[in-house]
Amino acid sequence: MTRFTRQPLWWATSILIIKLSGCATTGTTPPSDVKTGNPTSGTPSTTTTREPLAPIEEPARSATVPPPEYTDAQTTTHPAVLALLSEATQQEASGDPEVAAAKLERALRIEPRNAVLWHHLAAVRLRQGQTQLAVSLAQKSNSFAARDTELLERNQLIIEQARARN
Amino acid sequence: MFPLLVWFKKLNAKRAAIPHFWRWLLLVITVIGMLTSWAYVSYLDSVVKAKFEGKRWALPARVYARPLELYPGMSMTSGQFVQELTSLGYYDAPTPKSSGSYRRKGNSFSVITRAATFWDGKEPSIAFRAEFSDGVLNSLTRATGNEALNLVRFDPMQIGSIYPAHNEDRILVKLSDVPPLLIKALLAIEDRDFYEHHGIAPRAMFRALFANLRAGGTVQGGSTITQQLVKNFFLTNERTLTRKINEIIMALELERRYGKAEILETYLNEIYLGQDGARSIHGFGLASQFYFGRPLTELRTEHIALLVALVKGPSFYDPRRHQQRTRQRRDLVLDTLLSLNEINDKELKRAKVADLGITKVAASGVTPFPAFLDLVRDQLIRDYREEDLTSEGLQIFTTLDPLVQRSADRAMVNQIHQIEKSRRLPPGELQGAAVVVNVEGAEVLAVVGGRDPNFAGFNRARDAVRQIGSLVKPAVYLTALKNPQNYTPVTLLDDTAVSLKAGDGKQWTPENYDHQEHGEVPLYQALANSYNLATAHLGMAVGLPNIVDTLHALGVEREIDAYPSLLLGAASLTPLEVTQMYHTLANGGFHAPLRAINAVLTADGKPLQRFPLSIERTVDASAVYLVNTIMQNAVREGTGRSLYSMVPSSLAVAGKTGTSNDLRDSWFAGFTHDRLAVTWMGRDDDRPARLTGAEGALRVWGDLMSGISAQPGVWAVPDNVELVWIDPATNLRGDDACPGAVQLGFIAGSAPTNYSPCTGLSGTVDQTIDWIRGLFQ
Repeated sequence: MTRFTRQPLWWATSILIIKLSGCATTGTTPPSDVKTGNPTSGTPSTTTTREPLAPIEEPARSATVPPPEYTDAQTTTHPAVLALLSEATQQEASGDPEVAAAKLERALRIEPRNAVLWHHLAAVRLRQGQTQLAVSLAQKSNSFAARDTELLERNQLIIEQARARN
Repeated sequence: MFPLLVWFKKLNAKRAAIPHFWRWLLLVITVIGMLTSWAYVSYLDSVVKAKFEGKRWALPARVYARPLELYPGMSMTSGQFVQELTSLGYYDAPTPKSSGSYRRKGNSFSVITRAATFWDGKEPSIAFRAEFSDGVLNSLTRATGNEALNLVRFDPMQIGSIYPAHNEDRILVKLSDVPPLLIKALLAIEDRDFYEHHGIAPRAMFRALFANLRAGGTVQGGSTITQQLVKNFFLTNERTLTRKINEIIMALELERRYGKAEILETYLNEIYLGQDGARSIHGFGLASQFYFGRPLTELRTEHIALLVALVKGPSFYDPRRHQQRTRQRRDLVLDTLLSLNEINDKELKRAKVADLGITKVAASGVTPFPAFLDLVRDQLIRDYREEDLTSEGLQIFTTLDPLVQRSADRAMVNQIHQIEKSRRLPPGELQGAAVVVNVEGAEVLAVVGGRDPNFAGFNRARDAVRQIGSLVKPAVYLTALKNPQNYTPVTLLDDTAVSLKAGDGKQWTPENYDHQEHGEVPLYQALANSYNLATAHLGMAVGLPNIVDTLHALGVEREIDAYPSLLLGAASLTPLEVTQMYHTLANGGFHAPLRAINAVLTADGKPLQRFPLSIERTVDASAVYLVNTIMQNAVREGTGRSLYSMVPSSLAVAGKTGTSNDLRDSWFAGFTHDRLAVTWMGRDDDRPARLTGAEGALRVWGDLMSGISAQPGVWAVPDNVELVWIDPATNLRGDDACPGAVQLGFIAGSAPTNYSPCTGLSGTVDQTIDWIRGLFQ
């Protein structure tokens, strides 16, 4: 059985340091015959952020997985979502993962296609030992991750660790 | 006892003439009498104590809608926002000063929210400004200092309660939360000496007694607040001397044991203040909601005076029925407040000209959304005992979105009315059901159970098991497309007559809706046009058991018979089950049990239980993607094309119509990126409704969705899917030059390799190069 450690400090700092960057890739590639921009909907992005990823807890004895670092992952993230993500991080750090999950679900109501949010939720579930759910959530994150290799790798890590714990 | 004996001795000394025997008898009787009285008083005392120290009231569980969360950039019109504010009981004030008030100037609003407690924490009251334009919330700033706000969460709207059998309802208030003016007014009218007396006011009682004797009936009450509480709390309504004596003893005991504050607080929560059908309205907290649609803390002078006026007789002074009479008594209370200097002349004048301020429709205990409440109850009953639901005052936070629910209700009522009229159907026979869910969260946003959505009765969304007709077809095509080596969207299917052995051994000869055979048709057209013959051929080829497996993987739990008639929708499901099935498609192959509840809190706001999102991949994402894009085709060019006269085509809806044998059931299941709705129309007696899916259910769907915001149906292309333009004339690779070219998804390596002549290109495409190019598109 592998031990998983918590890194609340990293969690906190990862959220606080949000770098703004120019372009953004969203998780979707619209087919060209489908017009987007339905007049009755749309979530304009007010800020384009460069979002650090959640730490995947590494097996304590493994040296093969590098420590968390800022990645090339770029998601269009709404400030409201960032605020909720930050609160979720604090809640998990203070030992309340279910409140963290609730906050992440609130954020997902605002940005259902945000691959980073799905990834965070997967990580929370993994740390709670809900391995099957963690796998599914990581796969869900992948489905929105487009070609964000860093995020794909981190999701893969969750999937592997979850399977290893089964 | 001791003074009594002394008295007896004195009596003995004086009246030695009384025979010895009688003296003793008198003594024994007196002692027995005193012991009995003592026992009786002790008994009443224990009754008082038991009730007062135990749980005083059984509190019904309260059910809330999802709270409105505002954030810049969200889709919402100012009209929708006002609707939310109104249903929350926020009032329009010239300058909002207290929580629960707002001011609108065109598209900008100043609002002060109410504080609320949620599963993930408390939300303080906040004063903010919001500006809307073009259906979008443009800016959100703090009222003072213009600091930008990211997110504002409102208090949730109550949508129902789960009552105990006796139907007593109340919202508990703390003494500290009750406006001081209300307490002053109440004591001024009901019990001026409350803080001085010991439970009874003898002078007032005698005054009342004489007044009543003179009048020959009850004209005056001499009861203190304490007595009134005792009367309500422990005693029946009969007017007997015994009861009066009990009342006095218990009032004295209550005062001896408990403080004034506790007695007053209990009184404020116990007092009967109105009736709503079978539900009785108790306490000022609920009365405030019941009459004014807002919490006690937000009441104005005239409201307070009205509530105090009601104490004397909530039925006689029912403000919804006897306005004149009630107004007179309210003004009497206001005059009393002036005479006590609690309000000044100016306030008196203002309050007297003010309306009663009663909401038109009572914040009814009867939920306006009965069909949704059924789902909530179903989910709760698995985890809670009935008695806990009706007595613990649990707070149930549901997923219902009032804006979506109202849109669904309105669409159902409108369309049933219009369809009955335009198609000359017998009025009152056509029924309907609808379920709307949020795709990623698997949250049920709205449920309509019948043609009269506010009527609690047979819930067709949950309980009507009906033949699903062509709604089964996506499962047939999904089963095929899971095998890209055998089937692609352009695989040619035989749309020719077929005869199959049915479950009962008889031959079954299906037909197309237009009674035509279409010869060889590409798979995507067969689904988009809902061809029965092609589907029957395809279904038999992929195998009925495999299709049943697919249905289960999509989340259908009901047992399905693997008969050939299944292929054309002989299987029967409820609209809710169909929703669960299509949800897995809308959700990209992830099955997630639909949720109606998010969380349960205790009466005092402590987290009790959460119903988290749970997902599991059960169907291959790539095959689901192909089916979804073909269903977009079905709406754009196939059986669902009438939809785009109701909603903009930019919504890119993926949908499927369904019609059962002899036009008994009319179905439409459709989804965009974030919203899935399933609608059904038919008759309860299962006679033909004479409507196809497109003529009935689709119209409800379109009407419903045109009233709510939704993200267009644009999905991430799975890694192993490539999008290829197809020339429909040849079913080969095409491009812009080919008339009517369609873009279809193919699982990697399964797309046609040859170019159609219309492209001007020749030869075959190098799949590898094309694939790599795709990566960098």
